[in-house]
Amino acid sequence: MFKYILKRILISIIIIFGVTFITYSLFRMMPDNYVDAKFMAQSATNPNWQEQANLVKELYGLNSGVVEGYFTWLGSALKGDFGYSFIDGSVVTEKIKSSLPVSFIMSLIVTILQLGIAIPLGIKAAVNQYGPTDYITTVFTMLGISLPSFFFSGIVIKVFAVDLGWFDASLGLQSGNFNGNGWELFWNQAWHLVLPIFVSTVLSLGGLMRYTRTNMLEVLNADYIRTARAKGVKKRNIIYKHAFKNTAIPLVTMLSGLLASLFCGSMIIEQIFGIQGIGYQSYYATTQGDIPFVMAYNTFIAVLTVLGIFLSDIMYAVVDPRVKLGH
Amino acid sequence: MENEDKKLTQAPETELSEAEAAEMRVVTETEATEAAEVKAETENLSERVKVLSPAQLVLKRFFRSKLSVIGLVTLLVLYLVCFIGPLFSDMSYDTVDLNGPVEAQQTVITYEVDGVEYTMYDVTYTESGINKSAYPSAQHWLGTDENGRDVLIRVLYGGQISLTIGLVVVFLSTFIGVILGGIAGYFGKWVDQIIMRIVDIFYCIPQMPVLLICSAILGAYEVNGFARIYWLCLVLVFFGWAGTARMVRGQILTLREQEFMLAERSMGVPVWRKIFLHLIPNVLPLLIVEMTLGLGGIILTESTLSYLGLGVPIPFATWGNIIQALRDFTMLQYHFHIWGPPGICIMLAVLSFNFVGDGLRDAFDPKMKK
Repeated sequence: MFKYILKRILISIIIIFGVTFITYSLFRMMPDNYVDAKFMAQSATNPNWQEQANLVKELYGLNSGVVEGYFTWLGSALKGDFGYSFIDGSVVTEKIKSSLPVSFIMSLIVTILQLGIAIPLGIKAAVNQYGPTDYITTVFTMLGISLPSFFFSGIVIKVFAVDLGWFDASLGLQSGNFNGNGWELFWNQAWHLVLPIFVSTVLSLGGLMRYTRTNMLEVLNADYIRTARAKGVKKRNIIYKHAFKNTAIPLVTMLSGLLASLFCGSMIIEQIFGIQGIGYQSYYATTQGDIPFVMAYNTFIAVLTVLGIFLSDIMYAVVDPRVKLGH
Repeated sequence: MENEDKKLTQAPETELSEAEAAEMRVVTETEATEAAEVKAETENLSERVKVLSPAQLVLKRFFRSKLSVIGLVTLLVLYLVCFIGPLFSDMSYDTVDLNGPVEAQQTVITYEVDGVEYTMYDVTYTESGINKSAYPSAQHWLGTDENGRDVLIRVLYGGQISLTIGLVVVFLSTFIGVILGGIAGYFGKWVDQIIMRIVDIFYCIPQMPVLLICSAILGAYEVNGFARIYWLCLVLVFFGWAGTARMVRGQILTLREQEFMLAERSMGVPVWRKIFLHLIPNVLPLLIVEMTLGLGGIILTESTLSYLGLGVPIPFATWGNIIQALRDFTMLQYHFHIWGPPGICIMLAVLSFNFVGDGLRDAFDPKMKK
C-alpha cells in the first residue's frame, strides 16, 4: 500500500511537470506578448518603455528560451510565488483567492443539486427499464448534455430575465446601483446566482444520471437481487438497501474525481452571466496572454485533477473490500 | 457434424420464442440418437430457424431501440439537408443582401424666431442599404444576420463545416489513440510506462484554457480562412486522443491474456498481424461507441470555440460562430431567429450522436439479451 502510494505520488509529480511545461511552451509560442503590447501603448509618454519592458520580461524569464523560462517560472512557483498578474498588477495568488469563493459556492450548490436529482432519477430509470419513466428521464437528461452551455444560457436569460423580467437582465453578481449590506446584499447576490446555477445543474445532470442507471441495471441483474426477491424482501428495500449499496461503489469513486470541478469554475457560464469568479478571470487572462495568472490557474487545476484521480483510486479500495491496491 | 455443432452453439443467439427453443432442444437430443433422421431434421430446422451473423444481431438489436433509430434518422436528415440544401439557393454563406429597406434618418431641429417656435425636419435617405438583422420573410426564411447575410443559408453551410470537423477530428484522434494504445497495451513494460505517462499528462491538461491559448496563437499568426479550420482540427486531435489510447490499452491488456493470443504466439504470427488483425478488431465495437459519443463532444467543443470568436473565423459559417450574435444584448433580446436555429441544430446533432452511441453500446453488449 505504502509503496503504491509513493509510486502514485511520483507519477503525479511527473504529470504536473508535463502539464505545466506544455501550457508554458504553448504560451511562449505566441509571437507578440502582453508585456510588449502594454509598454508599446505607453511609448508616447514614456521614453524608456523599451528598457522597462525588457526589465519586466527579464523578471519573468520571457527573454530567454522556452526551457529556461519554464524553469525560471517553476523555481519561483515551487516557492509559492506565482508572480503578478500582467493585466492589473495584483498578486496572482491573491487574485485566485479573491475570485475563488463565488465559483466554489456555485459549483458546490450545483454538485449538491446534481447528486440530489441525478442519482434518484438514475435509480428510477433503471428500475423501470424501458418504461415511460426511463424514456422520459433519458431524453431530458440527454437533452441537458447535448445543449451547448452558451446557447442554453442565452435562452434562459432571454426567457427568465428579459421576457419574464424575474431576474436582473443586466446580469453580473449584484444589481448595478445596489448599495446595501448584510442580508440585503446576500439576497441580491443569491438571486443573481440562481440562473447560472440552474444552467450548470441542467447541463451536468445527464452524465451522472446515465452512470447511475447503467450501474444500477448491472446490479439489479445480479443473482443476490433475485434471491432477495425470491425471499420476499420488499421492493423498496431491495432497491434502496441491497442494490443501491453496490451501485454506490462506482459512484463514490466517480464523485471523488469531481474534486477539480468544484474549484475550477466554468469559463463560459461565468463569462456569459458576468460573474467574476475564477473561470471568468482565467478566460480574460487567457485571451489577453496574462502568463502568470493562467499558469497559476492551470497548475492549480492540474494538481486538483491529479489529486482527484488519485483519490478516486484510493476510494475504490476503501469502498470495495475486493479491490487491493498495488497489484 | 461440425456444421451442426456450430448451429447448436448459435441457437441461443437466434431469436426464438421459448417454445420453439425448447422444441429445438428436443430435436437436437433425438439427433444424437437417431443418425438417420438427423439430416432431414436439420434441414427442416435450418429452413425454420434463421441463423443470424453477429453483425446482423447487432443491427437487429440496434434497430429495436426507438431512440437510436430516431437519432440515426435525425443525423441522416441533418447531413442531407446541410449538404444538399444550399444547392437550391443562389446565395452563399457570405452573400450580403444589399436590397435593404430605404433607411430614413430624421433630425429634428427646433428654433425660435420672435417668440414663435419653428420645427424643422431634416430627413436624409440612404438608398439600398445592407439588409441587416431582418426578421424572417419569404425571401430570407430565417431572416438575415447583423451583416445582412441569410441566416438559413449560413446555418446550412455551418452544418457542413461543423459536422465535417467532428468526423475528421474523431477519425484522426481515434487513429492515433488506437496505435499508441495498441502499442502500449501489447508491449507493456517500459513502452507502456512511457506512453501511459504521456497519456496521463494529456488527460490532465485543462482542455478549455489550452484550446483558448492555441486559438489565440493561430489568431496571432494570422492563420485565416480554410487553413484556420485545418489547424483547428489538428489542435482538437492533439488534445483529444488520450482517452481513446487509454481505453484501447485497457482492452488489449485483458485480451492479451486470452487463449487465442497464446495460440497465435505458438503459431508464430507476426506482431503487427497480432495487433492490427486480431486485437484491434476485438476492440472495434467499443471504439465505434466511443467515436459516436466523441463526435457529439467535438461538435460542442468546436462550437464553443467558435462562439468565443476563437474557432472557425468569419465569414465562414459554423453553428458556433452564428450563435456569436448572442453576445450582443439587443441580438439576444430581439433576434432569436439568428441564434436560435444553429443552437437547435447543435443540440439535435449532439443528442442524436449520443442516442446512436448509446444504442450501439447496448447492441454490441452480449449481456443485453433484450
